Amino acid sequence: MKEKYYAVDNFWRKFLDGKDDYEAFSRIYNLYINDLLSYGVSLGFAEETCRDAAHDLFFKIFTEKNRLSSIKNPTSYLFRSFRNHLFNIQKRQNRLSPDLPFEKSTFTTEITILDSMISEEETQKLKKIVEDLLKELTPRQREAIYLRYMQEMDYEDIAVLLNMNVNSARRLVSRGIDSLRDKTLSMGNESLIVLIFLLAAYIKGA
Amino acid sequence: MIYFVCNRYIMTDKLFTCSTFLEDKKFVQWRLLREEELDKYWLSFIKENPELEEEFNKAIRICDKIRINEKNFADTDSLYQRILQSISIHRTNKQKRKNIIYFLSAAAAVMLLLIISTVYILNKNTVSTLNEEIIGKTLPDEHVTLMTGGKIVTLNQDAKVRLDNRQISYTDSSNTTKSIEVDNVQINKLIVPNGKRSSITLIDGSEIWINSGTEVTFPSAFNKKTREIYVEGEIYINVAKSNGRPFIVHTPNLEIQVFGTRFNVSAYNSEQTASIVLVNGKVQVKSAGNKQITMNPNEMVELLEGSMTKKNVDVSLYTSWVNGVFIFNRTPASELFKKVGRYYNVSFENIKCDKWITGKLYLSENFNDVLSSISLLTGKKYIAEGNTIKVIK
Repeated sequence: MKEKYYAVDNFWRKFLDGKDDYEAFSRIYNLYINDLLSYGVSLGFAEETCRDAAHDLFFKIFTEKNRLSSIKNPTSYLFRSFRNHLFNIQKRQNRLSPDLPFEKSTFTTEITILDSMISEEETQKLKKIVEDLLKELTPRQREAIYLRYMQEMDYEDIAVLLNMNVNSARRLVSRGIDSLRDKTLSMGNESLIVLIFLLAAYIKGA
Repeated sequence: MIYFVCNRYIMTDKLFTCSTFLEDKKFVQWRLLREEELDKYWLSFIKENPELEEEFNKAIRICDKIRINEKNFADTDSLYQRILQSISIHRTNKQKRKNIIYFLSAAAAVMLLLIISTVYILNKNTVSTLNEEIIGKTLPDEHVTLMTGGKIVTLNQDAKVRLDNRQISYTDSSNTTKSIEVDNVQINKLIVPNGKRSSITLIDGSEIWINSGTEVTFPSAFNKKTREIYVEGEIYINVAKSNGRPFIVHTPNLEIQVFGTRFNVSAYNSEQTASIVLVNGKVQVKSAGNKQITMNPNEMVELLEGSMTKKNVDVSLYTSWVNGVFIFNRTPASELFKKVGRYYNVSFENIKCDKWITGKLYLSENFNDVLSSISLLTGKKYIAEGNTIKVIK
């Protein structure tokens, strides 16, 4: 993952410094287009809408380059701007046909594990665990965790993207953790019994 | 937290593998969220159970392969093409708007000029004779001349012309460097007569060495899509790279499309053949009959009576004039006379020599030195009478 951030930073700077640097521009596009489209689909948008938003986003990046000089983290910018384009398109469509439900709050997740180190059965088991963990969370929590885990965004950027203050973003993720923790604790009852049993034995022994 | 550690100890009696970690929700949760609090817990766990470290690390590596919403979409290339298309349409529209503004301001300027000159003629009918004299004066054709925006400038021998944003700089006949303001849509022409050479650096950084008896027409600025120049005569050009924007050299009968390269074009109207010699890169040559040939380095394409032929050549023979040398390798003497004649603006009269020449000829400032070198190469003696060279038997 780290290489990707190094790469995009590098191409981003090259693109901003250069004049019509199509090479750097296409590299940035290729690094992010799949993640952005998939992010849009997860938010509940049609794939075609996501493609339109990506078109608008990259078109703006190229034609309004001068506005981008203050951006520190290109990843955060891409996701934030892409998200805005998506909702703008939705707003436009809603004006045309107001029956469509506005601002569906959803964030679907699809887990893949690319590894041959463990058996297919074990891979499925791990996948199920991750899916169950994420299922416990609210869509916004899932989205925050996606941005944190997959895109390695920091809380400041997540806060801006989800339109909330930094502490709320931090709480969003940690509340996610809390609800996960509660779940593990309830699962861990057996161990607790074992512990008490052992502790009792230990005290007796002492 | 202790209960967990104890739990693990019980488990170690059984087979403890990385799957044990992977099936542990708390472990997976840690890898997914990377929270500081969880970091502390697991790092102290492995400190207390160092024998599990190998399996623990393996489990971490596997967990790092967990991906959320990582998908590959089909046709991202066509989406990219769509984006590029929108950018290009946007730009031409912008250019059009600019052109309209330019046209309007040019129209306004013309109107202004007309009004002023009318007033001028009405009021000061007497002084205009001096201006007429200057315009009417014919320029001696042995000078390198630069025609730009209605101005005609006489340049020094071996003048270096350079185009920068909105200005052309050059050394003039009094050997001082000067510059003229130009506008971006302007077309300029550099005429290099026989006996003179020049060079020019275009706005994109491409460098052209212009041999004697050559005219090069070039714009002050290239458009966004292509870079095009017109050449009649001989040039050696080093084309600068420009993001896939093609460079096209037009000659009376050929069109050479370039993809970043160095090559020599010889297309004199007075000669039946035109030739292109490629030093570096790749070019595509199109003849008037719409035939196309792609050239690789060290190849020469010749156009003779509408048909093109390609062969491998020693490029130095064709490009050496750039460095002030003619190199000949089994070249007919007639070719030498033609080249030297053009270079020094002299004509060799009634010289019959069917020798083949091999050797180097330094193109010295002093033509007599050159003449004695030619004597050595051809085994004959010559005298110069004005611009005519005669042979002494």
